Amino acid sequence: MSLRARLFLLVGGLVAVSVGAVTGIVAGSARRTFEEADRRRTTAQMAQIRHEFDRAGDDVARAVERVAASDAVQRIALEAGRPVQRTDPGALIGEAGALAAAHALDILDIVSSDGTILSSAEWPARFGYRHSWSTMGAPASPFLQLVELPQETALSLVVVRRATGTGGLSIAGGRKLNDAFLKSLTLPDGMHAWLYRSLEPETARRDLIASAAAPQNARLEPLIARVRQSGRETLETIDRPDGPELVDAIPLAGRDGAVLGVFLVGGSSRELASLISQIRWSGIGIAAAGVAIGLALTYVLASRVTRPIEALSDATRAIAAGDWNVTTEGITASGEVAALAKSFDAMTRQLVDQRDRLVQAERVAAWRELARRLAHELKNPLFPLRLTIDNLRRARSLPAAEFDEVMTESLQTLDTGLGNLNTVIGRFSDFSRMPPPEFAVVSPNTVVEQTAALFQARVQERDAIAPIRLVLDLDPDAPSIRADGEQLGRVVQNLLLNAIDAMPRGGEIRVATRASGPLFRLSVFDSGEGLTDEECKRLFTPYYTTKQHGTGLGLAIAQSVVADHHGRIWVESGAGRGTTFHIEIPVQQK
Amino acid sequence: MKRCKSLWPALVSIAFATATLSGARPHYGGVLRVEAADETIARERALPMVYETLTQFEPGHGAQPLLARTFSSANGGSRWRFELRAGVSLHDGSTLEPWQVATALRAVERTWRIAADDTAVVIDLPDTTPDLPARLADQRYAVSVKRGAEQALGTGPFAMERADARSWTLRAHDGHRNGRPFLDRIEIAIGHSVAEQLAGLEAGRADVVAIQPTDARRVTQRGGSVFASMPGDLVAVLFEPHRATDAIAATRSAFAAAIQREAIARVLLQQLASPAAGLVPAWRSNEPGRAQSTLSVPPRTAGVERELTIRVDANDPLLRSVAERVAADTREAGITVRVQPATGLSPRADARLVFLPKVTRPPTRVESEQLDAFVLVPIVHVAQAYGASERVGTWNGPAVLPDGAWNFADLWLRNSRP
Repeated sequence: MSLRARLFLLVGGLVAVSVGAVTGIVAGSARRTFEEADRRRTTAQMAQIRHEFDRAGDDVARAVERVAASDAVQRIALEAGRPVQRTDPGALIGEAGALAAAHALDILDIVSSDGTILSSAEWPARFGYRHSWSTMGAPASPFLQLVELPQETALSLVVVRRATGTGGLSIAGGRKLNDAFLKSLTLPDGMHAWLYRSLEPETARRDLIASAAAPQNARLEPLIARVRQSGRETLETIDRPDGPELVDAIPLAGRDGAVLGVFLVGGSSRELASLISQIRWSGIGIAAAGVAIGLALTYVLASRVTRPIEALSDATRAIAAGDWNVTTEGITASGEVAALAKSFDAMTRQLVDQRDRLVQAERVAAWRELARRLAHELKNPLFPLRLTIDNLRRARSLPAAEFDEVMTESLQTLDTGLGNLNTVIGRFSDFSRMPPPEFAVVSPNTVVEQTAALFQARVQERDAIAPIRLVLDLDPDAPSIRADGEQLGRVVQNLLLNAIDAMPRGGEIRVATRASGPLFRLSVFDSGEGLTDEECKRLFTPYYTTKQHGTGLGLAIAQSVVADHHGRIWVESGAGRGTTFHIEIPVQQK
Repeated sequence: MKRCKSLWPALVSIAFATATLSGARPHYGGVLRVEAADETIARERALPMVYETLTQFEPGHGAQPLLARTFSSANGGSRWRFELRAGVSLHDGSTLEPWQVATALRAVERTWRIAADDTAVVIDLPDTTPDLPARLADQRYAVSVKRGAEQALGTGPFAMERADARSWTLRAHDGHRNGRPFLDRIEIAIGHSVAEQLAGLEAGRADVVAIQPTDARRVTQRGGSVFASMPGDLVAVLFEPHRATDAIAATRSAFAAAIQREAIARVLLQQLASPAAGLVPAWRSNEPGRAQSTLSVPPRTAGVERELTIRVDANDPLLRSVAERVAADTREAGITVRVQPATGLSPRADARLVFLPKVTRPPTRVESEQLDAFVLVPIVHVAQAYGASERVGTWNGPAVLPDGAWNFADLWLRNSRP
């Protein structure tokens, strides 16, 4: 992943995580604060509504008392007190209605001393029948009552008063707890009220009325049923589509303690949901803005920092690939990056100089090494030649027969010495004039087996003093490859020779072949003492050897052969861990 | 004081009367302002004052002479002879001739053979018709004489002066056989609902308006007076077809028995109704009573449903009051009746409260079966009631006839001048 991409991800991630964390903390804090405030508000509102109930009851009581004390009731009492044959019951039918309208009462019944309805505002046609709830020891204070009406049964707040001086007339009046009552309640924004009237044994949604703007499908039935059963106030959180809502439910009991209704007050969590949504969206917006700023910053940084750094990185790679002519002149940068680019160029130039000097030094060293080797190789065969010539010179003074003997020996020695010289020169000549490979389809496993067979005798010689075990681990699936079988065999020979020479006290040599896709792999392992890092680096340098004898060309030749086969050879070694030479050659030569 | 044929003596008597009695004695003059809901009602109520019939129906007495002085039958009732009163004048002052009566009747009944002589009209019918005089009391057989294409003259105490869709004007017929009416004119404003009419009466915009029986006391308490016909309009409960089955016959019977018709008629409707035993009011027919009107609480028997719904027109205070009383009565009997205002989205009710105006014919076979099975439950017959302002006085005879037709010939206006 590029530096720019990492930078972008880092900046964007930091911004997103930070904003997300802040958003979450703020939202959680806001929710807790709101819920606590909601609870307090709901409780306070319910206390106020209880007060409203009391006030409504007092209003009803005062209105009924005014009716009871009115002249109209006195007149009704007079009319009702007449003898039956002189009474016109029809004359009283509309009286209660007029009084109820005048005193803003929904329920008003004028009841005679024997409990018979003389006039009824809410049910005028019910004259003559017994009044059910005004006679049985009605309390002085207002109470709740289910009042039967022609079209419904209404939960009402009622009170009963005696009309003094009327021969026992009672006035039963009240107001319905209905939509109008709910509307009369002053509820703060976001608060709702519901009134449930227990008209049926089972809790039914149709008996629930709601204040304006209160949701109808408020899922309150389970709470209502619990309150009806327990008769106790209950505070509960209700899950609603737009968020949870805290609902306070109080039972409305009649005078005998039966729960005639349930009053509920709830606070809408829409504000909280809206606030949380705002916080969330603000967070998302800020995060998006932060990411955008990150992108912009990344772009700016890219143009100022990462691009030059990438260019420097590209230049480094080019240099690693061998292009030493790369410079950073085309890079636009400033500050430390510009200094870095300058330093890079300087370093590159130094490296190039050093490489050149190194190459030259290596070349010089190689020449020196070559010269040393050559001198060493040549010195050995030349020294006996010199001695032979000196012997011949000295033998001039000897008798002819002895001089002939000396001459014959000397000529033989000169022949052998010249032959050795020839051999040495031939080897050097061979190395300098390596023939190109002649490619043919060969089985590398066969080459390895044939080569290993050549070394069986040598390995067996070491059995008595320093036994060596030669193990062949050949992949039966190794394919035939296009290669020069003879040169490949010489490479394996060199590696086996080196492995034997590396184990003066015996050990194991393991030769393995493997097929690896388009490549053929060969490895030769010896369990010798291993090589140092320095030795590993110089191992393939011509004329470099760690042996007392040897030209130091074996591995250089092996490297040259492998290179001609478009493969590669390398070594893995470590002190005390043995040494493994690896060769990779393409199966198909181009 | 008898109504005079000439205006002049009336003026004198009025001047005298004013000096001695303030408004207690009738006098001539003034325009009576009447309101009616629609032209049909105006036609039914007002036209009998313009076009008279040969006979008129009186409760308990049957058909009585009106334009006909006497009437007799022959051939078992297939021939009838109606002797006309002499000197009956049309609104143009000419005398009504028997042939004109015959012509008017022939325009209505083409199967009758109607002949006229100098004094009488003879009607030959295809079948014996013993109640022909009672039938001829119907306004359908009113006598009108055409003069020209648009003018139709009558013999009533008032003549049609002007009529359009919004108002009619009737003027006094000076030459009426019973004397000129006290009123100069009657102006009938058409198109006011019953509620608007009551408001008009209380606001002083109208002198005579139709009222609900439940408003009668209100009118009298404000100094007005109430005129009413005989109870003729039926209020009944009709069970819906899906509740008219034998399965709930016991419920319907218990329901019908629980209704206190007397209380509804006497108290709720302020004696402007009578308990109904059948379709036709008792004063019109001899139909045997079916419904119970005594306060009898049926026992709680098995098979009686305890909840019913009755649909009622919420805009009709009369029907609403009756429905509420029915609900109260049946509740005491253990049947909960819910009164359901008639709206488009109401669930289907078990029954509905119906208003059948002016049922005069006997029930059909189907109606009889419904009555027997308590599918149709008569409750009360209601009178047509009218409220009159305190400036309206009555002299002689009812202002409204038993069948609801107006009879304003004997009305007079206080504080009015000719």
